[in-house]
Amino acid sequence: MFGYVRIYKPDLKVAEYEHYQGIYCSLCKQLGKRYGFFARMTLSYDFTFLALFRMALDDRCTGFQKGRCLFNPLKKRTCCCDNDHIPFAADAATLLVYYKLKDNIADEGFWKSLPTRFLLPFAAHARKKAQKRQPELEEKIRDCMEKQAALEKAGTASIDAAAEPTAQMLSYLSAIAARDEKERRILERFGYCLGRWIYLIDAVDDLEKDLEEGSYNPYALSRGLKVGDTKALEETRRYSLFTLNACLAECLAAYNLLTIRRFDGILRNILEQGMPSVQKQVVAGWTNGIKKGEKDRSA
Amino acid sequence: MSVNDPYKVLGINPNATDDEVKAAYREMARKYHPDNYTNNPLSELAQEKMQEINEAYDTIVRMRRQGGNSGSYTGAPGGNASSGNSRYYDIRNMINAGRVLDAEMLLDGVPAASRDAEWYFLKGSVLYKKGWLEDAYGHFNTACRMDPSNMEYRTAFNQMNQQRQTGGYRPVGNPNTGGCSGCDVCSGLICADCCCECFGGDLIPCC
Repeated sequence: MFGYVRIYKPDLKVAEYEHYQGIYCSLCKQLGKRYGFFARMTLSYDFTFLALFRMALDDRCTGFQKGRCLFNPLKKRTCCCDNDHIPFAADAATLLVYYKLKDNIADEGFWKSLPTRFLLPFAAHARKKAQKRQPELEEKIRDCMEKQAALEKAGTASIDAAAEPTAQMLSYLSAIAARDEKERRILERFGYCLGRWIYLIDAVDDLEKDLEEGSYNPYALSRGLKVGDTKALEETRRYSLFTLNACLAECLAAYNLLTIRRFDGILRNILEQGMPSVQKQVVAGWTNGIKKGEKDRSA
Repeated sequence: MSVNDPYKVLGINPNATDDEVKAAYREMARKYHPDNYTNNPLSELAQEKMQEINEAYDTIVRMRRQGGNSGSYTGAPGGNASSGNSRYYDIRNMINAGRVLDAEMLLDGVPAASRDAEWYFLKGSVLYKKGWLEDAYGHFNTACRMDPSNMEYRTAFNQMNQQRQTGGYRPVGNPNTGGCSGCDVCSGLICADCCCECFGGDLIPCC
C-alpha cells in the first residue's frame, strides 16, 4: 500500500531534489529517534509527501542544514531543521505500518506470514508510543482498518464503497493541518481523493495476484473477473486508468485552491508527473518495477 | 397547494424556526424512508406519505423564501432556467448549501419508479461531492441518456469524461510536452513554404 506517491525525478530541479531528499533524510532520522532503529525501515515516499505537504502549508519555514546519514556516512547530506511536521509524519507512519502488518498477517496463511509475525512485536511496541502521542489519529486509523476488513469480508463489489475507509482516513489525516474552515474543506477533499487514489492503485497493482489467490479485490468483483480471462483483465486495467485519472484530477482541482507557501514545484511534480507515471506503470502491469523499486533508501 | 396545511403535515406550528422545520422534516423523512418498507405490503403507502412530506417541506421553504430574507439565498450555480420550478427545488438548494448527506437522504427517498433524468443528475452530483466518482459518473451518464438535450447534465458528464481521459496532469515522457518538437518545426516550415508559394514567393527553394 506504500510507495506510490513519489517524485518524477527527471523533471525535478536539482535544488528541489535536494529539498525533497532533505525531508526524506530527516524523516528517517526522526523515525529512528522516536521509535528505534527498526522503525527506520518503515520509511516511505508517502510519508515524505505528508511531511512535505504539511511544511508547504505552514507559515514558517525552518530551513535546511547539513548532516550525516547513518546509511551513507561518508557524504554530508542536506537535512531539514526541526519542525512539527516531521515528527507528525513519523507518528502517522508508525501507526499505519503497524496496522498494515497486522492486516497482512490476517490475510496470509500461517507460513507465509511468519516473517511478518516476527516483525509485529517491534511494530506493536512502536505503535504504543505513537498512540500516546496521537491518540485521535490512532483511533481513526484503527476505525478505518476495521471498516476495511468488514467491507472485504462482505465482498463489496462497489469500487466507491471499497475505497471509502482509506479515503476517509486520508481526508482526516490531511485536514489536521488546516488553519481555517475553508482550508479544512479543501484539505478534506484533497485527502479524500488522494486516499482513494492510493487505495485504488494498490488494488490495480494486486489485481493479478488477488485473482490467482482468490483474495478480495474491488476491481475483480465489480467487473466480474475470472481467472485466466486475459482479455477481460486487460479491459479492466484500461478501465482502471479512468478511475485513477478521475481521482488525480480531483486531487489537483483541490490542490489548486490551496495557499502553498513553498515546495510548490516538488508537490506539482509529484501530483502531475510522479503519480501519473506510477499509475502508468501499474496499469501496464509492470508491478515489479514499482514493488522492487521500493528501495526507498537508495533514493 | 395540493396538500392541506404543510405545517400540519410536518407536525409543527407555523412559527417554527427554519431549523425546526428542517429537523422535523428530517425526522419524518427518516421515519418513512423506503428502506424501512422494503418488501412491506404497505410500501406504497409509505411512498405516498414520503411524497406528501416532500411537498410540504418544499412548500414551506418556498413560502419562506418569497416572504423576505431573499438576500441569503444563493441560486444554483450554472443551473438552467428550469431549476426554479424543478420538483427537486429544495434538494438543489441543499446541495448548493453543502448539505450533501441530507440531500442524499431525500433523493434516496424518491421511489425508484419516479426517478427521472434530473434525479440521476442530482444523485450524481451528491455522489460526486462525496468523492464516489465511479457511481457519480454512472449517474451522470444515465441522466444524459434519459434527457440528451439538457446542457446541465451534459456539461457535468463531459467534465468527468475529460478528467477520466486526461487526469488533468501533464503527460510524462511525451515528446510533444514542450509544445514544439522537431516534427512541429519541419511541418511548420513546410506549411510556411506552401503559403509563400501561393503568393508567388518561395521559402524552401528545393520543394
